[in-house]
Parts: sequence; C-alpha cells; structure tokens
Amino acid sequence: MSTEMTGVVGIICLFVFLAMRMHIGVALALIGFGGISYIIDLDVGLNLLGMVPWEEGSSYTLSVIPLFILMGQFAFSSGISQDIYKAVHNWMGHLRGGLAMATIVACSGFAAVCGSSLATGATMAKVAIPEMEKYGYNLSLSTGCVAAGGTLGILIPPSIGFIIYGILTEESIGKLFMAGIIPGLLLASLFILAIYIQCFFRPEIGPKAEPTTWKVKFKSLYSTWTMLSLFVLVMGGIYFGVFTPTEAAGIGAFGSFVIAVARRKLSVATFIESLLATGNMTAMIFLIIIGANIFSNFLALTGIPFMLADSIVALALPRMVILMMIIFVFILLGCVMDCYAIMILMVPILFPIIKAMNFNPLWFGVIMVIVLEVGLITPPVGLNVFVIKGAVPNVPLTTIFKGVWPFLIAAVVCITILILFPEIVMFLPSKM
Amino acid sequence: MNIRNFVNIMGIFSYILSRLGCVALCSMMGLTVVDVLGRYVFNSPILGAFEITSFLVSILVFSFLGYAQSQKAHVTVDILVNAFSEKAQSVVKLINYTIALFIMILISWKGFEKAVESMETGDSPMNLPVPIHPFVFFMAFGCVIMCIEFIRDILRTFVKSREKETSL
Repeated sequence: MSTEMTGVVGIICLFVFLAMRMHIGVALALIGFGGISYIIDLDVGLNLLGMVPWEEGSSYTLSVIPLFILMGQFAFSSGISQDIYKAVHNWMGHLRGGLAMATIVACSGFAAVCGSSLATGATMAKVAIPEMEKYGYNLSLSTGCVAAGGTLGILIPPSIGFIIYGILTEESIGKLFMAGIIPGLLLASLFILAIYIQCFFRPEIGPKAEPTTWKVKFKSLYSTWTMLSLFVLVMGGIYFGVFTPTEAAGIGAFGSFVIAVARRKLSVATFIESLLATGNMTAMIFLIIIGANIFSNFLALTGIPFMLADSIVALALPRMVILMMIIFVFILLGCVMDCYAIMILMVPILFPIIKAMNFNPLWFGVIMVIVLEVGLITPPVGLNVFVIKGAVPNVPLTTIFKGVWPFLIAAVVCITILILFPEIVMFLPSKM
Repeated sequence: MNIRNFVNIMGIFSYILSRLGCVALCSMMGLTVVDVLGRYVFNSPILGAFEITSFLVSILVFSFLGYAQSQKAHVTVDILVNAFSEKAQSVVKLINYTIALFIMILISWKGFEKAVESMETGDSPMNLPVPIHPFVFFMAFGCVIMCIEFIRDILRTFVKSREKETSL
C-alpha cells in the first residue's frame, strides 16, 4: 500500500470510529499511532505516544484555555447575567419584541466575559425565557433567540474557539480576539433585525413590556459596570500589549472570581463546581488536542494535506467557490460533531489550502467561527439547542428549531457581508 | 466483594485526583495574577513563572483525564449508534472502551519510560532548579487513572447486561 493510500484508509477508519461513538481524542490517537507504525515502524509510533501527551499537556501557550474557561465559569456562577438582562430589559423592553432583542444584547454582554457558547446559552436561558414567558412571548421566538444569542459566546472575545484556532495556526490570539469584536456586534445587530422583522409582521409573538423611567434605566445600568470594566481590562490589556493572552486570562479569571465573591453568589460548593467544570472541559479539549497532534503527524507523513492543497489550486477554481466548498464541509460536520472537535480536526488539513489560496488567516478564522456557530444551532446535533432544551424541558425540540431559522438567515447574511467587505474583520487587528 | 462495589470503590482515584487538579487550577490563576502585579506594580516578576505555569497545566490536564471520563465529559459523535438496538449499543460501547483502554495503556507505558529517561538525564527547565521527571511521572499516573476509569466502564457494561437478564 502506498503512503497516500494509507492516509486515505486512515481517514476512512477515523470516520468509521467516530460514527461508532468512540472518543474523538482516542480515535485520533489510535489512527495516528497505527498509521505511523505502519509507514515507518512500531517504535516510532510508540515513541510519539509517549512524547506528544507530555509536550501538549505541559505547554505554557495552552494554559490560556483553562484560564479563560474558568473566567467564564465564575461569570456564570456570579449571576451577573441577571443584572445584564435586567438592564437591557429596562432599556428595550417597551419595544415590540423588545425582550427578545434584550436577550440578544444581554447575550453579547455576557459573551464579553465568557468564551463558551454553551455557557452563554445556558445562563441566558434561565434568566430570559421565564421573563419572556411572563409577557406572553411566542415560545419559538423566546427559545430560538436564546439559542442564537448564545452562539455569540464564541465570536465575541474572549473566545475559546479563537484560542484553539490561534494555537493550531500560530496566529496571534490577541489579534484574533480583536478581529472578532466588530463581526460579533454585526451579527448581534442582524439577530436583532431578524427579531424586528418577525415582530413587524406578527406583532402577537412579541408583546411590548411596560416602559420604565429614565431613573430606573440608569440605575440598572450601574449594576453592570463591574463586568464591563473587566472586559475592558482584559481586552485592553491584550490590545495594548500589556499582557500576554495567558496573563489576561489569569487576570480575567481572578477578576470574575472577585466579582462573584463580592456579589455573594460564590459558595464553597459553587466554587468547587466551577473548578470541576473547568477541569473537565480542559481535559476534554486537551485529549482532543493530543490525539489530533498524533494524527496530524501521521497525515503530514502521508502528504495528504499538501496534495489536497496542490490539487485544489490546480483546479484553478475561483477563490470564492473554494471558500464555499470549505464552508459547506464545515456546516456538514457541524451537523454531527462538536465545534471544537471539528476545528482541531479540520484546521490542520485545510490550513495549507487557505494559505495557498491567499486567504487572510484572521479573516478565515472569523468566518469559520461563525460557520461553526451555525452548526451549534442546526439539527440534528445543535448542541446549543439541547442546552436550551435542558433549561426548559417542557418545550419540544421542534419548537426551538423552528424559532432558530430566522437567526440562521441572519448568520448567512453576516457571512456574506464579511466575505464582501473583509475590512470589517481586519479593521481592529490592523490597528494593533 | 461483588463487581458493583468494586466498580464504585475504584472511582475514588479519579475523584481524589480531580481535587488535586482544582488546586493546580487555582494556583495557576493566582500565579499569573501575582506575576503580573509583581511586574507592573512592584517591578519584580516571579522568576520561572513561565515554567511553573507549564507544570501546573500538566498537573491540571492529567489529573482531570480520568475524572472527565467518569463524568462522561469527553466528546463523542452521537449519530449512527443511537439508531442501534440496546444490546448492539452495549456491544459497541464495550469495543470502544476496550480500544480506548488499549491506547491509554500504551500511552501510560511510554509515559513511564519517558519519565524514567528524564530522571536519568536529570532534565530541568532553564529558569528553575526543579527537575521535570516528577511531572512526567504524574502524567503517566494520570493516564493510568484514566485506564482505571475505562476498566470501570467495561465492568459496568457487564453488570448492567447481567442485571437486565436477571430482571427479565
């Protein structure tokens, strides 16, 4: 069997194993180990198994992952989401569909201190859905907007998605964070527009809440200043080069810890819970990273990524067609796989193509994260939808999915705008 | 002692290790804060903060491998297998756990070898007079704990299928 053939067989085996529900990290390690042992010899394969876990598992660069997850976990336990939601509610609630719009704005606010879409979705579901139910909002709209708003978590920095992308491609994490801010705001605005349009045609799905006085408005805004200043501190520190991303993550985690304590929301039990949740997620991501590293050693040996890049360049298709093909692959995978796993698996394979086609890596990162977000809310494995379902068990899944599709259209519009005007993505990072 | 008690008792290792991981995580947070404060406020950064952080990452990651498995936090793809019958599902599970156990045993074995090797050469990072090998040993140990978790899962599939037979 030729080396290339071995690579192809390996990839096929990988997908079979994944479909059989094997751990993604384990499956990647196994195929990588088997392939290398077959091509070179068993000793080389075994050595890699001993070496890679240590190298990846003791990496300073990767320490940014647990610290940003921890920051989000503390923010999650601090109950700050209630304050953010209440504040935006007071400002926007009196509009038609205003509570749904407030949910999107509150999600963006919470995403600014939390890098995970699932945590953003889960925390907002608990706060926002009961409130919208109280005012008689249509269930599809209320659950759909939380599911969609939650996905802003991995676009608006800090973002675990950008961190992993940055590590895989050796792009600056700080620049990726900056690149995500404006597209994140754009997507949030498009989500709000989607709500506005729906409520314009069917006013009954999003009734107005009673207006509030200016005094109440400003008073509620006051309670959100701590989180906003934490965001400014962390992102400002990265932007002006005061801290490395790891240091910013440490400061951010500590800051949101202090906020949670000051708000008297952090008992010993919730503190340990936050640590455990962070540890579990860290172990999960690292196991995938370790497996993927062994696997990509094998892939590089077979030469498949470069062959793929060469043959795609040789096709001489327009760049946009190739981009569409890549997006299509991501959406397809997004329907069945976890978004971090897709990234860790696909980026090493696709990155040579991105480079060969002269796409800007920062810009591509942003596009990819939005595409993966779409995967988070599409059936059958829209993880965010399941998180919402977990928070409101009595609402059927189909209702939530029905509420999600206007937001999917908004996401597609957002991707189109970013493809047509890449400057939107590049504006902030180019100023760094 | 019956199998079920054994399975439950074996869970203690990953539980204890996860608590150690929590300590590592807190220290990591504390260390970066003190380091940054030290650098900007007191003009004296911590020597070797970079290396200590990498060590703490290794403790965090490898102490949580087993616990994450016991909590089923590791990601799998649920698309095809859900359509299988319950019996077929448990067979698939058994195969998966066995393969995972096999690869983790290899990693633990090679990890121990690497640790012994690093002990003999006396590796230590540049800014820190601390040898690396205890941490490499810890990595291998963490992988062994993950193996134990896979063994627990394998035994549990047997216990479950036997329970179903008796209840029928």
